[in-house]
Amino acid sequence: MSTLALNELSKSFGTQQVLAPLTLELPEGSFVALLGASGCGKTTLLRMIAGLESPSAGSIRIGGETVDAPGVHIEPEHRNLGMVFQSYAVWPHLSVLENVRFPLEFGARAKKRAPAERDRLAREAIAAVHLEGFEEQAPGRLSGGQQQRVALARALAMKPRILLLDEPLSNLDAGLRAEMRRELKELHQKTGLTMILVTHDQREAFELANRVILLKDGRIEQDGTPEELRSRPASDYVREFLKWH
Amino acid sequence: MSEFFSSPLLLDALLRTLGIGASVALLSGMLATVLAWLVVRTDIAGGRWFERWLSTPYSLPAYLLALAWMVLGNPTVGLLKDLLPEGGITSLWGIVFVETSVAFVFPFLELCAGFRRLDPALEEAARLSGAGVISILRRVSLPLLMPALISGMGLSFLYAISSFGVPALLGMPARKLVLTTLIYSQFRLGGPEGLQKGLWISLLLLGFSALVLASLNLHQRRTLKRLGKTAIATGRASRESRVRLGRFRHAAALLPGAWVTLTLVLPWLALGLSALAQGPGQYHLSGWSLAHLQSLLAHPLLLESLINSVLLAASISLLVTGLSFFMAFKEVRRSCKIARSLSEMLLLPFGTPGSTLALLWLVAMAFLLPGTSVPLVALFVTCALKYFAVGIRAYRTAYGQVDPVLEEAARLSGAGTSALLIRIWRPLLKSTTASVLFLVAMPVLTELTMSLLLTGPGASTLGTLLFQLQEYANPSAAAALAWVLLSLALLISLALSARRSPTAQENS
Repeated sequence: MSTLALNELSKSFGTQQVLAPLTLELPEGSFVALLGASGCGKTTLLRMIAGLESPSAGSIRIGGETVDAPGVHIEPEHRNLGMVFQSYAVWPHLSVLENVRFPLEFGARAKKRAPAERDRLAREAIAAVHLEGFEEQAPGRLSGGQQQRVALARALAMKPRILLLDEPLSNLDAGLRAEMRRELKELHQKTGLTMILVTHDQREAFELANRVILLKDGRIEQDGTPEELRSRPASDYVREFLKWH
Repeated sequence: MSEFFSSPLLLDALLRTLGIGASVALLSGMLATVLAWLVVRTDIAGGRWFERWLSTPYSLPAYLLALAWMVLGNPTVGLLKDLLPEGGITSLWGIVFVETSVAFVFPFLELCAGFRRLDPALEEAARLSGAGVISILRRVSLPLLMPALISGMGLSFLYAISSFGVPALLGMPARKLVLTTLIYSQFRLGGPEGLQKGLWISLLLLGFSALVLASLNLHQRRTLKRLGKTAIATGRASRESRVRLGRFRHAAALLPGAWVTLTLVLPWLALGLSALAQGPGQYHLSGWSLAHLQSLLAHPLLLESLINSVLLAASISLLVTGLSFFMAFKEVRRSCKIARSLSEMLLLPFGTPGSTLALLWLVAMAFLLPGTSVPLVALFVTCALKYFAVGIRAYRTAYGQVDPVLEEAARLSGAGTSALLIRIWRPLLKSTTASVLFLVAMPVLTELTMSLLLTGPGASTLGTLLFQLQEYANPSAAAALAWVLLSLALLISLALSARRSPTAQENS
C-alpha cells in the first residue's frame, strides 16, 4: 500500500512555475530523498506535502485520504505528519520536555491521554534520540546537534504517518552530520516510518535513502535507487550533478 | 510644601495619571496584538494598506486628535454626543481613548516587526504538531514576542503619563487634573512657589518614567538570557507564512477598518467640518464658508508662530538627523565606546516628560544665567534633546541591517570615512533619513508642552497659538489650524510610508 500519492501536482508563484506537473507514489516504510540544486522545487514539494503550501493543480493523498485536490485542502495541523526543519524550530521559551510534549497536547487523540501518559510518551521520544537527562533544560543551552535531536523527538512523539526532513543536517558540522546520518538510518530501520528527506548533498541522499528523486527546474530528472543513479545516470545533467555535489 | 504633597489635589492627579497610563498601555497592548497579527500574519484583505494607515498616528500630535474629538464628542454640541457615555469626550475614558489612538502604535510597530522577524518555522512546527491558530498565537508566537509587546506597552505607558495636550484639552474643562496639567496650573497660577511645586511634581513624574524604563531594560535582559542562543529570528529571506482566513478575510478587515475610521478618518472630517461650518453645532451645508480660515490667516500671531515653528522644526530635524547619522555610524560600524555612551545618554530625554525637561531647563538657567530668558533657544535645546532618541534608534537599526560587505568593498576600494558616509551610507540610508527628518520635524512643528512653559510674548509657536485659540479666543479658527496641520501630517506620513513598503524595509 502506498503512504503517499501525488497526482499531476504542480505549483506556480504568480507567473513563475516552480514545480511542473508531477506524479509519484511512495510505498509505506520507504526512505525517499528529494535531491537537487537550490531553487529546483524540492522544498516547495515538501511544504506542499506538509500542507504549508497549497498546490496550484493536482492532488495529494496520504494513507488513502485526499488531503489536497481542487476544492480540498486539509490544514497541516490535521495531517498528522512530523517535520524537522533546517533551522530546528525548537521553541526557546519551552523546556526540552515541553517542546516534545507539545504535539501530544493537540488533536483528537490528545484528549484521551492523561497528562502522565503524555509525559511518558514524550520521555520515550527523548530517549529514542539519546537526550535523556536533558528534559528540563532550556533549548538555548543545547548545542546545534542537540537542538536538532529535540526537533526530531518532537516530530516522532506524535507518531506521524510520514516524517518530513527539510535539510535537517545542513547546519551541523561534518562530525555531527555523520553521527546524525547514522542515527537517522537506525531510526528508520527500527520504526519502519516513511521518511522524505530534502537535501542538496548526494552523499547524504545516497547513504540514507532507498530511493532518490533528482529534481531540476521543478521536474523529475531521474527517479531510482542510489545504485541506479550512480551506474545509469539518465542524462548529462544527472552525471554532472553527481560529479559536483 | 508638605501640606501640598499630602493634599488630595496631588494624590488625585497622581492616581489619575497612573490609571490613565495603565489603561492606555493595556488597551494599546490588546489592540496592537490583534491588529498586528491580522495585518502581518494573516491573508486579511488589504493587509499592507491597513499596516500603513494603522502606523500613521505615530507622527500625529495627539492633541490634534483631541481637538477633533472635541468637535465629535462635545457633551453639548458634539456630532456624536448621543452615542457617547455621559460627559462626552471630556472625561477620563475620553482621555484614555484619544491617547490610545496614538499610543497603540508603539506596540503595534514593535509587534509587526517582531512577527516579521520571527522564523516562520517556529509557527509551522506548531501547526504540524496539531495546534490551531489560537493555540499557536497563545503558546508559541506571543510568548516569543513578549519582549516586543512589553516594550511597546511600556512606551505607551510613558507616552500617556507624560502627555499634556490631551488631558489639558479633555480633562481640564471637567477639572480632571493629571500630573502634567497640575504642573502647568501650578507653574502658571501658583506664583514663585508654583515653580517649586511644579518642579517637585516634575521630578516625581521623572521618577516614574525612570522606573518604567529601568524595568523595561531589566525585562529585556532577562528575556534574552532566558532564550539563550536559540534563534527565533531568521536572517535569510523566507517566504511569508500567512494564516488563511478563507471566507472571513474580508469580514476581518472590518476591525482595522473601524479603528482607522475612528482614529484618522473621523477626526480629519470633524476638523474639516468645524473649520468650514458657521460655528459649533451649526453644521448645515448652507452655512459653510472659508470665514474661519480667513480669520486664521488674518490672526496677528500666525506669521510669527509659523516662522518660529518652521525654523525650529527645520533646524532641529537637520541637527538631529546629521548628528545621529554620524554617531550611530561610529557606534555601530566602528564600535566607538564614546559614541555609544553619548547615544545612551541622549536616549534618556525621550522618556522624560516634556514638562520636566522644560522646568529643569528653567531651574538650570536660573542658577547659571539668572535674569536671562531666550525662549526660542530654550525650546531649541530642549526639543533637540528630547527628539535625539528618534534619530539614534532609527540609524542604529538601519546601520545594523545593511550587509557589512557593502562598506568593506568601498573601504578596499580606498574610501575613507567621509567618502564612505557621503558616497555609500547616505544613499543607502536615504529612506531612514527621510523618516528621521519627518519624525523629528513633525512633533517639533506642533510641540505644545515645552512651548507653553518656555515661550512667552514674542515667541509664539503653532502649538501655543492653537492652544490659545482653543482655550481662550476662537475654537473654530483653532479647528481650521488643526485641520491644516493634520492634513499636512497625514500627507507627508503617507507619502513616506508609500516609499518604503514593509517588504522593502525588511530587505534593506
